[in-house]
Amino acid sequence: MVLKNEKDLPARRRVRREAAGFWLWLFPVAAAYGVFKYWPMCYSFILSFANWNFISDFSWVGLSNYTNMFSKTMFIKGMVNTLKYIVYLFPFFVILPLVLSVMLLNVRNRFAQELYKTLFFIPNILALSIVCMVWLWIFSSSYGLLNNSLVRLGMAPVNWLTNSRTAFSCIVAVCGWKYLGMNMILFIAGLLNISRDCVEAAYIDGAGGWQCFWRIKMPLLAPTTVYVVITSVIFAAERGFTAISVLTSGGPSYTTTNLSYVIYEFAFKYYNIGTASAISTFTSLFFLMLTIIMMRTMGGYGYHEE
Amino acid sequence: MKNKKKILSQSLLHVVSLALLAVTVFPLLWMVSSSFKTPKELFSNGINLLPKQATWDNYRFVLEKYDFFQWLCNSVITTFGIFAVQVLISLMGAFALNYYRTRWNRIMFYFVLVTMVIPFQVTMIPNYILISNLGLTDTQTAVILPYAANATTFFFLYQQVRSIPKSYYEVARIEGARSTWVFQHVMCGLCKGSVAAVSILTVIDAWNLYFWPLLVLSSPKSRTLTIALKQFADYEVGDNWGPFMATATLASLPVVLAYTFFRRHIIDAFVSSGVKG
Repeated sequence: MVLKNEKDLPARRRVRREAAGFWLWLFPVAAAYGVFKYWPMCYSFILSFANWNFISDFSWVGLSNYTNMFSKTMFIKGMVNTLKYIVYLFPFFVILPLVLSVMLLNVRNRFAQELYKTLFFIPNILALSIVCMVWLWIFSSSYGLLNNSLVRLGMAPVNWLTNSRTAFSCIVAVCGWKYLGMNMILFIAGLLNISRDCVEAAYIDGAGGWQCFWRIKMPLLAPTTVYVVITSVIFAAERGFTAISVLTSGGPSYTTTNLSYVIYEFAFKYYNIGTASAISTFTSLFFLMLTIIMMRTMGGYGYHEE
Repeated sequence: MKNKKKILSQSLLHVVSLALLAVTVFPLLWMVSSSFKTPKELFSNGINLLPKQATWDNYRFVLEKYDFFQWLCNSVITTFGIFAVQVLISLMGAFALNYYRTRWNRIMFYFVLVTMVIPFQVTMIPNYILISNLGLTDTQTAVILPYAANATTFFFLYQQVRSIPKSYYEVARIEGARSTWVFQHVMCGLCKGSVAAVSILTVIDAWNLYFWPLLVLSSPKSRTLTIALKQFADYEVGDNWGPFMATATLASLPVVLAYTFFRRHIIDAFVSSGVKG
């Protein structure tokens, strides 16, 4: 990229001029990400080697936060639950939306198709916290809709959110309900992006509907699927926090916590900043692994230099 | 015969879709209907969707007895603040990375992008310490500041700006245009549509923000709508569910209205910020 009027300038000055403008425009970005992302990350890493409760004196404890971490029931449960969430959310975040998207694309009536899409998407735009509170009322043990209906049907009411056998499923159901439409829309977009030629070529070669779906459409849909799977894993470890905090506060006896909820509990309930930071470092490594997988499968995240 | 089969399969599709839709939309209808129910009906064994005796009492109660307008005002301020800071900073960054060519371009791109995967809970504690050391707790600024850095918004805008042909910039340079002029007239002018799309998403996200405001806003006066709602939910025992549902409905109303008007744009923005990213 050689510019005419800048050609007369010595090369070094040209480069410096370019750099000056670059940093001038990039300064707010560098500052914001430095202060609110990178510094906290480093600071959190430093805190993980200390014993501190916001007000006491700082004392260095070396690696003991990391070694003690694995003997805390709360952390172990949080980790196991996170994996459980990943598994249980999978049908709601991936399979059901995929089935639904194929179904909706087969609806012939354009108007109906559009209407269904629109309505399925509605829960997505509302605040997770608000819809969780609405579900709280539906799950409510004394006057909640669910228990009222159960009683009508002649069954015994259930303490949905305080019973260790149902609480976990309740959270999965609410999160699945909330993000069903989102992932469905992503799958629809992915399916519409597949070129007709591929599909028609397969049909001409004598492939059946199923064969065509599994052999042609699914492989071509891979980027969407990977994205959806990754977001669902991130949701299980991190964003599920809101649902957990509103619906069960992690209870009963830590059966519904996830990693981020455990960090929150340690930091703002027990004021054990050291352990909380150690767990966040652990969580970061977990996320880093995910990113590497994502980058591998999605091909460098779309940065191409011209 | 074939026709008959087609009609059958189509109607089956409609039936299944409608059944699933009922499950999807029902909780929201339940929220709205509960907000019009009298306490007597709310705390009964009824499972009827339509209130027997619709009443505005819950709404009146919220508007008169609670600081509803204060919460609304706080929500509007934080939403607008986050939107302005986030979009402006992201645009400036996207511009710098596309307009200038230095050896830092690639590094700085990844510098921002990598933060996409830093979990919120990792930055939460240090950010909280920072905000309280600055004496900003209980202010809307505390909520807004950390959201200046949002890699998703940045990445989306970066991609849009990248699609502008480089020759446009070169022409502007040769003509001796200032970078501020190029930023304003060339880049912003050409990216209007995508800026609008990302703005809608940012506004919805900011409006629905829950966890961070919960940490930094503790005084009742500074609460945003979502946080104020949490306050209701904490008193589950009381008879607050009516006013709660009224507030929840009012808080959701702007988002739903935006959705009805910009439905296409919102869905498109969700899709393009998701998969293509």
